[in-house]
Amino acid sequence: MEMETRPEGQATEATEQGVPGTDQREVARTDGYQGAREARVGQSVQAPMAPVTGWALRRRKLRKALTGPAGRRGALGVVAFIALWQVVTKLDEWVGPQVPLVGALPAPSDVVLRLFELVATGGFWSSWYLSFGRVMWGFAFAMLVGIPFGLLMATSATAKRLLFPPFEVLRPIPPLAWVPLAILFWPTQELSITFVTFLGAFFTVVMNTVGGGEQIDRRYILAARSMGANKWRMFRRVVLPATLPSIATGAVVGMGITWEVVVAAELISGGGGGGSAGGGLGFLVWNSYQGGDIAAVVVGMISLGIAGYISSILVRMASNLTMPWKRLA
Amino acid sequence: MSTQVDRGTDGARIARVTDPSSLELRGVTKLFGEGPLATPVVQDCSFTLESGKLTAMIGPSGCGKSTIAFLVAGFERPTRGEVLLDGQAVSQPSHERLLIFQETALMPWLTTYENVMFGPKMRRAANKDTKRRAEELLERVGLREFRDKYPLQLSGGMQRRAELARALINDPKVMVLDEPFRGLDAMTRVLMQEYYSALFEEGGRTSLFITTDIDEAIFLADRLLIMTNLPARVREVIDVDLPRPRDKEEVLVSERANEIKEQAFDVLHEEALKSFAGGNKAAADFVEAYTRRQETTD
Repeated sequence: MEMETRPEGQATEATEQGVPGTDQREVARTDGYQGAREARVGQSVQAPMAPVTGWALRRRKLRKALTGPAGRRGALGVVAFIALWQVVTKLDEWVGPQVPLVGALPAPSDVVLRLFELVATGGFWSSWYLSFGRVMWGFAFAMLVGIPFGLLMATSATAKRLLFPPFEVLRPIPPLAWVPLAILFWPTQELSITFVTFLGAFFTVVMNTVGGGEQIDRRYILAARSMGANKWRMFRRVVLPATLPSIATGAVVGMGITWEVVVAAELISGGGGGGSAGGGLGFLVWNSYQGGDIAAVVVGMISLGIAGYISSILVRMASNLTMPWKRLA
Repeated sequence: MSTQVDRGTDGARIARVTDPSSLELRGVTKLFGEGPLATPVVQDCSFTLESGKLTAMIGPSGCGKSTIAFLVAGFERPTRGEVLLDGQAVSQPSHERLLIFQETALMPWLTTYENVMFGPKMRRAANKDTKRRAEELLERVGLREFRDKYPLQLSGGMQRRAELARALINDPKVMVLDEPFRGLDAMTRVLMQEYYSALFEEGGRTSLFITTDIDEAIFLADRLLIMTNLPARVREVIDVDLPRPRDKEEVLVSERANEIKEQAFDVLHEEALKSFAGGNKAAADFVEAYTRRQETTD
């Protein structure tokens, strides 16, 4: 994005597209004017520039992201951060005095070494597997239950009057406050953690669905009514697609919350079935801390960061698949 | 010349309506609110949209014109009086009376083609015949190449043309256009007026065109309905007896058009003065501008 405003970036883009100094949108607009004039005389409009789409576009974007100035700067930033971290934590070994506060942290090199040790153990991977599973199940159920529930409240005033008050009382309760009840209620530890994870995403998904469903542009509804839509087709062809963007927003936010919740739930409940070998990434962090293995704590933290990033990419991909009109070339 | 252009010149015309309908508002009053708080937005309003004619409604903004559009479309029901389509009272929305909204109301999640096919699909009439008509209409409004684009990828003028196609495929007996070109830049607006004028002349479909722009109204209309300020009523009917097909530049310099414009302005001014006395903001602007105009032209 940023590189388009810079002269060097513009130059490469212009040669790639073959239209110096013109962007796609401008081309389309000029054609629009011609369209009005030519169609009046009864001639057909010239084909617009064929836009680059699909894989070719994705490859180009990826290449630009990796090798372009923005990509280079991003990589430089990461490298500089790691280098600084290394220097600060190893200063006492290399020079003598320890840097206050941060100096006690493990150095990146130690973290990497610990990571190599951990990936060789089954516990590390089972932690990944367990946490990912809990998040995905909790999230999937939150969507499965939350979307219909939200749509029901958005489309039926009676349902909303009935369901919204109890929902609003339950909503402010932090998911972690549910842990004791969840442990009592569900037969296995695994189900308890998944349930708490579900709660983390559920309320957000419902709130966004209700909000989106209630804010549909009235003209869409009116236009569909006058064109003869019955209740079902109105729901399927207007209400649902018009609410999708809000549902997607709810999903992205909800996914973030599930990761926060799963870690805390694993800490409290003691990791579930995995035992000390690896009861989830949250458990890994906590267990390593209690064993004084700070390098493993950092490995667990970074793993959580990567896991969260992967799952938010998955959510975005799913939302792009369901809403092709939102990713316009 | 390529074949595409040839196909464009002889094909893709809008079929002429053989038996155009007429629509009548008879003593219509619409109150909003209840009990002592009820305010009339439309009061004792009567007019006829003659069959096959384009009637333009002008009046200050916020005078209740959009409410009249909603009444004709059947989204609102009159508190008193009747809306009659070919003598039959209208009580609910129908594809026989389609409203084109201010700004675009194309479904952003549908492509241009899917938007045009929306009406037939809603009525389970998506068959070979309507599909062919959809393609023809897209061709006619110059959007064949943009068939599979989403509304956000179209320019403002293209969106309005797509919307015209989306309405026309339902073969409405009456079309109501509520300030359809609002929000377009001046250049596109003029082109769209010419475009719409040609489309109307081709099809001859009974239409109500609501606008705040006198020049636009005179260029397009067979008759002008000049509305009072709130509550809306027809204050004056002026026949626009300019020959068709019309040309924007000819109309601009036509003496007759200017006479009609003066006449319309005077009526609007009188109306504005009345509500100006009642403290209406929009009216105050109009009175101010009108006075300045008189000073410069006299």
